[in-house]
Amino acid sequence: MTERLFYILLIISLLSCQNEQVDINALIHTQHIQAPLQLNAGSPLLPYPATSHSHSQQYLLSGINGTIELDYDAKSESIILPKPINEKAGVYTLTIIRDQRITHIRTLEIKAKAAQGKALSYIGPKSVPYNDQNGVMVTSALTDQYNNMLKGQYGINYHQLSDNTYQINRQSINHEYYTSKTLYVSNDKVALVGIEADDSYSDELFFEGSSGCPVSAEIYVEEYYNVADGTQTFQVHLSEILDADDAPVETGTYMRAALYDAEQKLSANYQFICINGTAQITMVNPNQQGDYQVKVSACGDELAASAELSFEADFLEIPKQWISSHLLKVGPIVSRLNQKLQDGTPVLLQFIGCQADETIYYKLDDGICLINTDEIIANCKTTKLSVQIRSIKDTISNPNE
Amino acid sequence: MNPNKQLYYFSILLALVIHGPMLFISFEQTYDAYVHIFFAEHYASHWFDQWNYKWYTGFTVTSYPPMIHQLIAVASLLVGLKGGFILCALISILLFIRGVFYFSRLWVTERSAAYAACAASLCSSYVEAIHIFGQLPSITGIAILLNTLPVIYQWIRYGGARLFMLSLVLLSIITCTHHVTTIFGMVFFIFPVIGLALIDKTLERGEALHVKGFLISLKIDFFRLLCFGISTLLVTIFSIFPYWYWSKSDPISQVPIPHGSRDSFIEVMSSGLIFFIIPWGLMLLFLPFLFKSVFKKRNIFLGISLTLAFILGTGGTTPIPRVLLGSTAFDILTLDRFTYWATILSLPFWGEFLHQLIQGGLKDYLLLRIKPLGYKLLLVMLSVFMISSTIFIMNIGFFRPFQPSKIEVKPILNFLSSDNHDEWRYLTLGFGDQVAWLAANTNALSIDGNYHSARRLPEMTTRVVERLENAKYQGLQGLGALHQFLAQPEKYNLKYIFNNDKFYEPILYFSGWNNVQRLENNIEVWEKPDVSALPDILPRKDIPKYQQLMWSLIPMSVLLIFLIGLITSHIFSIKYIHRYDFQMPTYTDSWFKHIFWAVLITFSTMIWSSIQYMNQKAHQSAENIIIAYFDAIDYKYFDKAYTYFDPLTRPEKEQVLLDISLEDGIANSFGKLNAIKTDIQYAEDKLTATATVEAEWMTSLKLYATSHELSLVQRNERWYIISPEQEKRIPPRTTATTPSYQFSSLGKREAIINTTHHVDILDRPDIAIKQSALISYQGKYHVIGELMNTDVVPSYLTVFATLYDAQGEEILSYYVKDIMKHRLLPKESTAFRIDFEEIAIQHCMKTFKSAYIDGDNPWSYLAKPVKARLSVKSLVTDEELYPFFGIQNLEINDQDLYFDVYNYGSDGVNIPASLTTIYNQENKAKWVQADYFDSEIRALRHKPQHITIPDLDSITIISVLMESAYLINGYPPSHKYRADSQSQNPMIQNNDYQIDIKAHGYLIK
Repeated sequence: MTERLFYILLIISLLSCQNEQVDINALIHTQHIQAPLQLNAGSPLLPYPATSHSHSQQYLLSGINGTIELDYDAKSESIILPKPINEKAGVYTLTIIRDQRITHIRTLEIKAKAAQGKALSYIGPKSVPYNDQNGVMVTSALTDQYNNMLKGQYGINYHQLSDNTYQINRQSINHEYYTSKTLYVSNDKVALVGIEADDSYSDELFFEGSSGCPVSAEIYVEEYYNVADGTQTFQVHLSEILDADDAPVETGTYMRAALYDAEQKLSANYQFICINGTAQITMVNPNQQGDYQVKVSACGDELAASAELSFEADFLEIPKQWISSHLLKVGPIVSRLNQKLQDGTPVLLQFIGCQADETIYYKLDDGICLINTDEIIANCKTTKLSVQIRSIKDTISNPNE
Repeated sequence: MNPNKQLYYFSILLALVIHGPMLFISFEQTYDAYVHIFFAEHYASHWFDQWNYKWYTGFTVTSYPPMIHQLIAVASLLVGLKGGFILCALISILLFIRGVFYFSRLWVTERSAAYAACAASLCSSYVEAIHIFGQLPSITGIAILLNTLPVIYQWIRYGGARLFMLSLVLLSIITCTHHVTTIFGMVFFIFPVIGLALIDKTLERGEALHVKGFLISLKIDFFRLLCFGISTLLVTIFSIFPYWYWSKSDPISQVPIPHGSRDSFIEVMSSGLIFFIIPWGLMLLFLPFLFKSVFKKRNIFLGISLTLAFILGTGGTTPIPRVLLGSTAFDILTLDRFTYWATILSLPFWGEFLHQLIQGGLKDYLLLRIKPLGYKLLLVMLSVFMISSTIFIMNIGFFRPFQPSKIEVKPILNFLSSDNHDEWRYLTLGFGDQVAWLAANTNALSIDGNYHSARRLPEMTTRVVERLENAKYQGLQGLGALHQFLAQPEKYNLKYIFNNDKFYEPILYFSGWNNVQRLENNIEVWEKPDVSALPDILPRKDIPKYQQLMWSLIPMSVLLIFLIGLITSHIFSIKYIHRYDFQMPTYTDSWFKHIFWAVLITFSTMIWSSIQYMNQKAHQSAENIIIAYFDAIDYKYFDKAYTYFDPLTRPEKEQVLLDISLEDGIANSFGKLNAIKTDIQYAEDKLTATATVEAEWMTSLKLYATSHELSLVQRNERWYIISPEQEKRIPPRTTATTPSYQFSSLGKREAIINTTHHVDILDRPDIAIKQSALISYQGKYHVIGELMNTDVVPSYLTVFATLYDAQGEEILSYYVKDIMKHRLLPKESTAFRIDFEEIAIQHCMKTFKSAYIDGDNPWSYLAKPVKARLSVKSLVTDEELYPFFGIQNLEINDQDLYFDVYNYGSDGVNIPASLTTIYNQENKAKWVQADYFDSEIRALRHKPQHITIPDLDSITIISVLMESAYLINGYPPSHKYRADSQSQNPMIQNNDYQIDIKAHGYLIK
């Protein structure tokens, strides 16, 4: 009997649980839109009369970052705004809910307080091209103690102190950034700019005019080993790297040096940086004989070209031998410096006289390449084969055809 | 004292001695211990708050029953979190032993039950659950359930409100501990006990044990049982009501994450070992005895339950589990729990078997046949095997570590708590389950987590990824999820990555992350510039106040009610529940077949192991030596790899190790061997062979295929590899002079602890967008273009684009990942390409859910983009930049480009890469691609490379972006780049196109 009573009580108590889900859209009853509330940043209490408050009332504050629930303090008759919310200037929405119905929606504007302490700060840009007639937009900000930017309350003055002393004066209304135009750095390439606000806050900035893209340079190539071995290196030196105003370009400026053959076909492409108006690049000898030229470019434009460089073939002949009726040994290919050619150097095999242009690729391994002609599947096989390594080409008879 | 009770108390002591000391060592190596400690830390600091911000973008702790976590939290007040975990684990172990004894008492004699309790300490599945998996809630749940079952049995037999309430209280505690135990426990444990009680009631009435008699008993007690069932259900719901509410209101839609317990144990033997062989352990030797015992009439319900659990625990070995559970449940549940329960259900009969062996009929049988000496030897061997297997399982991590080495978290905590680093989210890579311990010790927020049932981030739920931090183990899917977070960290305010695994370095670097420092614990800190801090208000999902109170108070209240009732003995009398007046079946049998089975299993295992060992012996065959060699290279066991070289021809070990160390590169140093295919051509004498090996390496960037030609030789029946020649080419120069410069962005920061919001603001260098276009290729969409740093300071770039349809509606946004140089020198330009495929698939999976079929083209579900907007942000960077590259000997053959990459600087480049831009004759970019090369290029050296470009005629420019579609640092472009000029980089011509190739690379600091 006790058991059964227990069951019944248990079931009743569980069935009496309610679902407290609030459907805002369905239950909106009354909304009173009134004038925005305003508060200075740093104020933890938003006055709200106790007569308008009730125990079941909820206060939700929504902003750009989300929504939080606020508490009410009956003693001070205020809604409590916690940190850091009360320190952040901005426009928020205060929603008041009573008995699961929205009764009020108010706009709350938290305004920046007065400027205080080191309130004036320069934002950017940090580099200013000199002699740029278009000028540069410079931006500063005035902030309160909570780092909220002040709007429309102060004027910012910019003073450029150089041989062309002049003042730039701009006052902004309803903007948070105080901007100015035409900060101009003259030929002496430096500028000291002072900014001040309301005779109380100031800062100083030092600008060095920055250079533009390189447009000219002196180029010369050191003495080099004139064999197209693809291994030895030669040094290319650049000096007097200047921009359009004949000023040395900034250290660290990116540039490119390309090696072109006699047909102006790109053979190599290097990247380098300029240091104090000079640069040095180590380039590798090409692996094809011929005449070459180094051309230097920056910002997509060519600015200097070297004298012609000539490279002779690294090796003059291709040793080749039929080891068996179908096994052809190419090599060993040895350079003038008595080094075997690099592993992986392509070896091109062609059947001479075939209509189709069919080239079969092999690679050197330890200076040698073994070709098994039985394994070649080609539409056309003739009595003569050509073997080419780099620019050297040679022929050999095919004993099998 | 009753000798059976003596043995029982001995079993408790045995459990303490075996598990107590080991807990202190093993729990930190387990999978789940730290997760539970993390939850406990939440309760220790925010008992009444159900929302936890620390993982994902916040999750509710009502996603896991709280009892154990709250107990650890309470204990942590005295002994700390780790101490609390160990204390709770010890109590759980003692409860388990007690539970096994009293549960076994229902089925076997008291003596056998005592043997079962002794054997429980050495039960493989239990040892595995504690010392490898660390599943404290699960093992505590089962421990309490075993103690509850005799109570339920006694209530059914003898009634009484007190027993009824005690049952419900205990079931409530179990539910609050581990709800799955209650739910499945009903099927596998409680129903058999109910059946047993009804059977005993039938026998009590003097009736023969028959279906008819049983049905009469059932009919008599039907209403009571029905009420019990409903009460259990209500208790289960009420105890953790917020959990059920969360499950219903916020159900997870996660793609199934593979688990080894669902594998076919024949095909994936490692899963079979972990999830079947080890849990069953020595109990496999007595399976015939077990099944014969459980299918005696009195035990029939247990037999059905055990058989069901046994079959379900076999995973994907047969189709039966999938049919029984249904595809959805099969793909969600981990099936190792069924094997675990099956072994627990077997314990009473394992105890009975041991009883027969030590004191019963089996002993007499053996003494007759193998004499006393043989019998003693057998007992010794069995004991040694049991203890050895327990020790082996406890320490299996020593042989095959499941976790990375222990990480000291203090340096990471110091980093996070300094300089407001905790105002951003962080991610860990290569931490294993220690992520939870780190999270428990910091207030900083992580984008990842270790409890995937609670996560809702689409980047994770739409992919087969368990955790981001071990993404590589989920292959390309896991890495794909990681890539999304690396490409768009702004979305989740992710700024810092703590990396403990070299594997991830390439993708971190090339996605634009900077390696900023190495902490004292050798963890690297990577940072993404220009990411916004977390907002002050973070979103959270609140539950109704009453649910918060329920969740916070009910578990401890129920436990308190039980303890008070227990201590006072007025409500819950222990003595009252111990009445075992039922007829026990006899377990004598023909022992021959059981011994035959045991011997057969033992010898089969030994023979199979020997064959496997012989077959996998490295020098056994040409295939074996190649697999062993690549395996050793993969795991960096270079000493071992050296032993696989032909001893007659191999160089000195130091030379080989030197050669290997010089062959750095993405595949060698940052890759994981994914697959290997060998083609072996034997010579006529079969003593030598040539092997062509195609190896596939998974790296964080992409899959790499490498090809190797190896020569093999057989000497004295052992195969060896002829050590490959390494290129010994040296550069002609012996010294290198490379001019470089250092740039520091000092700012105007003062040495104050307050933040400097507006006083010190990093410069945003001026950027020009030279061109940009929306293109399509093979049904996919990309935004490509070219940018230039027109400023005089180095710049870090973040680029993203938004696609729009013909109506101007936004479709998708995404960032550049690795197809761009993120860091530019002054006046340097870079091409870029944004791919939308990954984000489009994820968007379809999230929006269309099951309507989107995996593998389909997502653009058949989404609107076609016709235009785009491009946004570029720049930030000054003082990362050291290395521009000393050259492209040499360029050759083009249709779609193949051959060239040498030359490193003329003073440092080695660990992962060289190239960025290739292809222009049409009007100088409009048509394609951009990034390629990564598999080996390092040391200073003053060059290496041949080969890349393939697509068929450019099949690429369509959909729209060229105009200046009005650009935003640079939040503003329209301030000055136009000379778009009308013919300025262009040096390029190579290929038919109707021009190609610019630029080399760059990653240098390890």
